[in-house]
Amino acid sequence: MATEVVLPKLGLTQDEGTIVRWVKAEGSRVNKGEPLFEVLTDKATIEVEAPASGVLLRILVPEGATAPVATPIAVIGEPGEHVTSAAPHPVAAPASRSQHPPSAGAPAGGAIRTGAAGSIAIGDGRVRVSPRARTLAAAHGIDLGALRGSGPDGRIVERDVQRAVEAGGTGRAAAARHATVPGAVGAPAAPAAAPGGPARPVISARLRAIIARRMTESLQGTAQLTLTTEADMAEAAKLRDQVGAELERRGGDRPTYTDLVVRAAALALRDHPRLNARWADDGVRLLPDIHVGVAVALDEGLVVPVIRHADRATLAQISAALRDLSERARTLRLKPDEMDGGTFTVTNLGMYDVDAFTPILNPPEAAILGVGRVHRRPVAAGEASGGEDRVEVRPVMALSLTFDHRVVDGAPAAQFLQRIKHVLEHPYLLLLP
Amino acid sequence: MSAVTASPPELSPARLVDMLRMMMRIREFDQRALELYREGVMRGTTHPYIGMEAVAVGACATLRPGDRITSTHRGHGHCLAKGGDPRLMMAELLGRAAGYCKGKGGSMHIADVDAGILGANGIVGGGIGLATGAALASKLAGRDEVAVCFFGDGALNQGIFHEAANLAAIWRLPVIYVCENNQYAMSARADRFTSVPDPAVRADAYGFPGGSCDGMDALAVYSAVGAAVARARAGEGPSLVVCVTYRYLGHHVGDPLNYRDKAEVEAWRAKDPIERLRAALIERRALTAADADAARADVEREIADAVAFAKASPEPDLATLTEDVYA
Amino acid sequence: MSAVETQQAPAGTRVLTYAEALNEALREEMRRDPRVFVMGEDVAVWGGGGVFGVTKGLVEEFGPERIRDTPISEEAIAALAVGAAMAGARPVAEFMYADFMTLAMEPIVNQAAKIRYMFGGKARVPAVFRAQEGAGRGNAAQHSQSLEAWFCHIPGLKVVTPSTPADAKGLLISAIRDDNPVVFLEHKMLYNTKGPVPAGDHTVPLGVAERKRDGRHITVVGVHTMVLKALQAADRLAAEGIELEVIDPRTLVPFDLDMVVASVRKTGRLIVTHEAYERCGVGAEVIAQVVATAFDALDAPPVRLCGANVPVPYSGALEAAALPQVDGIVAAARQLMA
Repeated sequence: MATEVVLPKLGLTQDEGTIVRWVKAEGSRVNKGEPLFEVLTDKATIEVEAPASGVLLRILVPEGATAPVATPIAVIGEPGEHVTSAAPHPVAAPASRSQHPPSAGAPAGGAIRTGAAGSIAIGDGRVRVSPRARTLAAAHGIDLGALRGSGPDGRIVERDVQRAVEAGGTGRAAAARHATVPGAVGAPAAPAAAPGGPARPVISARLRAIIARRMTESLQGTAQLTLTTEADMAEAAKLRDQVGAELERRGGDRPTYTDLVVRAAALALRDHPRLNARWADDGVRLLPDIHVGVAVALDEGLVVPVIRHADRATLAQISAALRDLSERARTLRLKPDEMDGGTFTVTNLGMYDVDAFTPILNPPEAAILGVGRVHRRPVAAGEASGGEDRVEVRPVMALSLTFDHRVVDGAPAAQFLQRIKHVLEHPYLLLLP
Repeated sequence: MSAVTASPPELSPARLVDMLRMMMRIREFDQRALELYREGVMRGTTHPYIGMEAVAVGACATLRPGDRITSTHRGHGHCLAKGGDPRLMMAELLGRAAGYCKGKGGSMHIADVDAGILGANGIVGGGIGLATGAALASKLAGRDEVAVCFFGDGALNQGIFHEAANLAAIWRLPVIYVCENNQYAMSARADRFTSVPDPAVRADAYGFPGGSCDGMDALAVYSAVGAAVARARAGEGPSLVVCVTYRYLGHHVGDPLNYRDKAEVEAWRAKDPIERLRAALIERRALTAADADAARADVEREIADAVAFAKASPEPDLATLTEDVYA
Repeated sequence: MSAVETQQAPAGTRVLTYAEALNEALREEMRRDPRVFVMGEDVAVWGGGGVFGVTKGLVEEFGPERIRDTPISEEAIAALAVGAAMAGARPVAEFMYADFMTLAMEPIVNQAAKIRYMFGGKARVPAVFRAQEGAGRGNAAQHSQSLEAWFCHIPGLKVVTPSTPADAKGLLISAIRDDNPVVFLEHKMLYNTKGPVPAGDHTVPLGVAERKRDGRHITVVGVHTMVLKALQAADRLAAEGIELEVIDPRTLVPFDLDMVVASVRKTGRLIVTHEAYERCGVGAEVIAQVVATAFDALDAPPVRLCGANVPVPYSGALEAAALPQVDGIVAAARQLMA
């Protein structure tokens, strides 16, 4: 008995998903629980396991295509088993490709079939790239996802790649990376080289759309404003070096400034729970747990993995977790729950020499902290200790806090920011529980 | 029904003793094969010739080295009687590299083409066309060789028997169809499935001589087949000789034998072809009882040696799997 | 008709029909080797030599012993050929129609093909089983089949399918000289086709394909008449700038995969076409081997243009519809290039 694989609903708000990658090729054996495909929801790329053991008889929704939740996307069964749901469900074809509706008269199995008269019918919605085109593209580092197929049913064929080569498409390193394709004979339908596979540009478009919608909603649906301040990072830098040396000795990594800020923000949130809240129809709802998201920039856009219970994590734990999350974010390997449930976000643009900026809230969170660069500049010093005024060159870092004025007012928000500044300037606090 | 009347040459006492020894050898070989099978040393199956030794030995005694035979699934007796080496046969039964077929044929496909043994055959009646074709080749080449085709009563009803018999007749081919009527084709009594009580009359349909003989008597077989061979060699064409005989054991190991009486078996065993020739030779003073016992002991040693040889032979090299598919 | 018919005969060749070329092969081999003989139904008396004239005049030269009319006993014809071959002769057994070989499968499949292997390499069966196959004459279901796949499936047999007079002669001589059982399948619609045939000892090795036409775009592997139809399609497509490379494997077992793969590496596209039924036909095997060997070279799914999976019908219109035609090759080629 064949098992239909449906597009899973992986989040409350999710109503459709884009197939990023089929881990298994049509015709290959799968075991229940093995990774079968990856789907991009409105939040994340999720690896989904096979619901049954057998042979992946048919893939109904190809890589790069988007389908509504609960759409049958593949069939698992036994070899030779008749695939009853052979007729592919309508799916949105990848934007970059021409769309061809499946031909109604196509034979089950979807293979090319030729009658005595020599007519050819093709019947499914697969992304079509000829093996020859793949080979040539790989040799020249051509991004197949950027090509439009001119062959039957939009298949990318040799001449399409040739045109790209002639047009100088061997281009930039990033393109070459994306164009990594399988060269191995025997894995015909498995563009196993994804995440760099052809579907990635499609993801880019999709992710872009999600970001666009969410950012617009944020600006239009909240009352946000931004406060800025500066923290003297001299002590923090010292601590970072000291802790870093010790962690490295233990086989770990040196914490980043972001790690320090995340820890500082988590501690400050514990002291200022009104910032760890959200606006609900019935008013402000304080959130019991502190989960800090950190924005990670990708070529395709932005994702925000979340460090759960960040206030209860040590600096070293935060550092390790963040390193892992960012790495997996870059390869589109985050699980949905790793990007879900944040109560506060930290976003750092310091590496791009940005001082202060106005971050946009990540709804439904009530606040987001922008982190600028640490840069050395002359600072008026001494007054605090009651001594003579003097100018010192200090490493300072701009902090920009955007908050939702519906949830919290300016003063408590400023106090919260001040607390972060204080913790960073007295970084031993970072080490306390 | 026309009968074969010419008589074969008289057998010398030494030839007669050789025939007795050959019958003993065949029986001992098949006894040991059964034991090996039961020990699990041998694969597939084995079809014992025990009880029928007079047919192979009597018929092959009429042949010259250049003559050919085709055999059946129950073929060890024919192969030995035509000069097969028991050591190479036994090694083949054990699927060993030193076997006649390098371990690729087994019991049902033992062949020694150079010795004129065109092979045992796993297809009932499969040898009938081959023997007839070999006879055709001899005739075309102008050689006076003959071909003896052994087959069982079951093969009488295969189409190829009728096609080949007709062809052999119209072309006067030097082939002798030796039907071993051992009474049963697996569970089927010959009289249940053969339209005539004496299958020898089927030769009439094709216009060549047919006759029956006592297949438990090597000398009777020698005489009947010998006459047919002489006729064939003289260019007068084919004959059918039905040798009435009996297999003492089942069709193969594991035969339930629910289709025949013990009493029937005992009655046939009372006519045992080896005892019969032995008694006749002692009576003719061609040998003494002690000679006969010594011959049996010799044969037992010979077959024991064949088994030892077979067991000592290596398994085939796996690289030979794809060898000899094509010349 | 076919392109070759109008050809001038190059030096050392004569223009002969396919049937005449086969006749010449038999005659020359029988002169050369006294072990060679022919047997089959109506090979001697009928019309002076066979229903299709392949054995014409041979009985006059070699006599009725070596050109041997047989009764209608296909199993015996095959079985006697096997036995005779084992006993030192080199028989050429003729079956009037390949359809009738179904009556002879036991000796061909169980005996001829297996004897050498079963006997540990100590026997040879140098027999040729000749037959003509194919449709096109309204001979209907029991006289029109192309059954080469049956024989290709059996290890131990070689299978030959000449499409031109020169190959017919050269391959038949090679088949007779081969020490293996060879199923030599002719095509009834080819007997009257003409072409230059080398005089004298002309052999074509078994297992070597021939490129009948060079082209850059699509490799077409054709069997028998389909070679000629592919060449006609190539002529038509050339006007559109589509070049077919037409390959005649000539022997299906052994199969010259190397030449086909080399061609597919050049063109990236493959059509395999034969009259035999599509299902489990030789085309499936060829495509499987090409895909396994040269997957990366393919720019389009390989295409089969084969006989419909129906018994060959009698009516001219139905028969034509059941067979792959030039139009079909042209259409498939256009689609592959679309």
